[in-house]
Amino acid sequence: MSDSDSRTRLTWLLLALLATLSLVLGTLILNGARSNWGPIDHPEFPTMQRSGWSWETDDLLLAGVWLVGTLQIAVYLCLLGLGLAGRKGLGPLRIPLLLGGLLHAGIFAWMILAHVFPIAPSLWSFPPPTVVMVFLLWILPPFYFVILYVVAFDRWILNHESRRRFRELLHSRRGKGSG
Amino acid sequence: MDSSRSSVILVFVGLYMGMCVAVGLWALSRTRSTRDFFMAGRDLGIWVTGLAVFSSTMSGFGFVGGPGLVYRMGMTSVWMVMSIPLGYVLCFALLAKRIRLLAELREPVSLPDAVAARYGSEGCRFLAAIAILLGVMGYLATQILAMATVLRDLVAGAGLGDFSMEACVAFSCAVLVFYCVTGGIIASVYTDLVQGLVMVAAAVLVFLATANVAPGGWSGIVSSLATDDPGSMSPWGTMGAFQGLSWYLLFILGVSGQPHVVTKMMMNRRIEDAKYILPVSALGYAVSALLWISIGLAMRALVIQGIHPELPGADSAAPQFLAHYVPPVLAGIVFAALFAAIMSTADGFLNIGAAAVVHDIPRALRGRSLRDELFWARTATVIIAAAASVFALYSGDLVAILGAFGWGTFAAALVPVVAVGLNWKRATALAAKTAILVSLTINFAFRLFDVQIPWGIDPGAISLVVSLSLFVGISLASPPPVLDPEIDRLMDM
Repeated sequence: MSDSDSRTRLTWLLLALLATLSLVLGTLILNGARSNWGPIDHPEFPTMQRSGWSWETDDLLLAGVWLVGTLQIAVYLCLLGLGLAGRKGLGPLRIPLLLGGLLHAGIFAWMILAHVFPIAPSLWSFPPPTVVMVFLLWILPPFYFVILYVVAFDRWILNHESRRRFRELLHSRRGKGSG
Repeated sequence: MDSSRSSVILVFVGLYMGMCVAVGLWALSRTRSTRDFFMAGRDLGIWVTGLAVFSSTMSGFGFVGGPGLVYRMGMTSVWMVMSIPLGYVLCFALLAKRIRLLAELREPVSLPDAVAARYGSEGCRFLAAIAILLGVMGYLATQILAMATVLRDLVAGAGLGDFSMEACVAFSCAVLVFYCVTGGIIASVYTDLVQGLVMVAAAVLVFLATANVAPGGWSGIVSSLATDDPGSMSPWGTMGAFQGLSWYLLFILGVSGQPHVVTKMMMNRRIEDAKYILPVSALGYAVSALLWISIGLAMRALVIQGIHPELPGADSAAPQFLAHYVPPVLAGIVFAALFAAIMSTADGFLNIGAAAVVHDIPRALRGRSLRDELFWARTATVIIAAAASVFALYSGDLVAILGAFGWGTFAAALVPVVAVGLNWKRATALAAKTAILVSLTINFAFRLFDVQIPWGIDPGAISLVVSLSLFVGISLASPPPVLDPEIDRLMDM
């Protein structure tokens, strides 16, 4: 697959994801927030807020949160693919990139499920979903993608062939300049 | 705060500012051309670039506003800091290679220069420069205001007198302007190096200190907060999931549109250093973010447990914590780090603002740069700092509006045009101009009319989704553009 093919496919996918995200957010906005939603003033300390209601009790809203979060992760992955795609598309980076996306989306889904099922331990007294957020979602996806970038850089992102072609481009420009 | 503690803190802040002046003098001899002034001669090493990238992202907001947000709303604002390391990955994937190659090929001295080269359009250059200038004025004014406010409180606390806000703005700006004018971006990035190290050290020490301020350590802090309000310790905090997720989107994608971050990717000595710069930046930010969260949660718990009286405002969380719960020397380091955070962001903005005024706007309007550009760059740096100071002191709510407008505007205006446009040949100049104009309009309208979106969704996220969609949609609907052959070949790499 050529560069323009793979990148154009990715941009079509990006457009589809953005359209879906807009549709979901638009539906939420048009329906308005629930009356019991949102922060309320803290009864004792006016400079603080308290949460208005409990998330654990509303499965439909949790599903909406999961959908928005997963779409955002897909947009992120799509843009990463656009940046990492070389002349011949994503090539061997496709699988590790997809695995990274699955890891990211999987941890996010775990965090959502932890609202309903006790499937995470309680560390430092954080509730289970927050444990997944602080100790997994915050750390693992960036760590994975940073390692992927470092490992893939010389082999794929800026390989020997790209450097050679860039040197040729520079020489031809300098040749034109001096000529 | 007692006066001896304030004096210790002032000594540290004074030492730090003295270091900035010294770096400015050192960099003066290394700044001989516009390329040196705006691009550091494209000669920066891994550590300098890596720490400059992260320290310019972590502004004064991260050290004062961030803990205040956690104090006020619990875990919601953690989505902002969680997103930045992922944002760096995206920014490096989209831009580190391509914009650095472009920098070597065409030798741009600013981001709008790169935009003009990519699209072959002076209109795109002009709009990118205007978007940058608007964002810079807002951001810079808020940074100057924050710096002057902290300085005034410190001086008053040390019993050295009650200085006016104008005097504090003048003094803090004088140091900032001195090293930016003498050493340009070279002084800026080398002070960023020190600023980054100070921020990391301060964050680690404060994190360790917070574990001992309340009974039961971190478990005790979190447990008391969850007892008071379980929702505040849920992943969504008090503001709810959609607010948190909209920040997650805006801050992950938005890094790739921050001009003070992206321009630093044109300055490293070797293109292949990008693979080492990314881990340095991501780790530096992740560690310094500990301060944001730990102070916010600790102060909320201390107030709820009745150990500390209620704060006058959420933004007092960090200053009050430092005043009462850490040793004076550590407080001195953290206050120096606070100034470091503010100045490392402000110096980057001064530099890109000066580039927009003396390089990009004249080129877009007259087709050529000013004569003796280096002299005018230095003059513009002084004028922009003075204008931002006046703006900070006398424009009232407009500063806050433009300050809030900054990140979202850069994200919505520049992510499509720069980050996507440099990776996709089908992107057109029409789509780029539309994306910038629409993002400016939406962001300004939302902030100016204080539009509240249901579920707390951030207007910047809406603006980003709209501008990205328009950019991709218009490009796909337009005939493929004819690219400059060199740019065409560069985009194949």
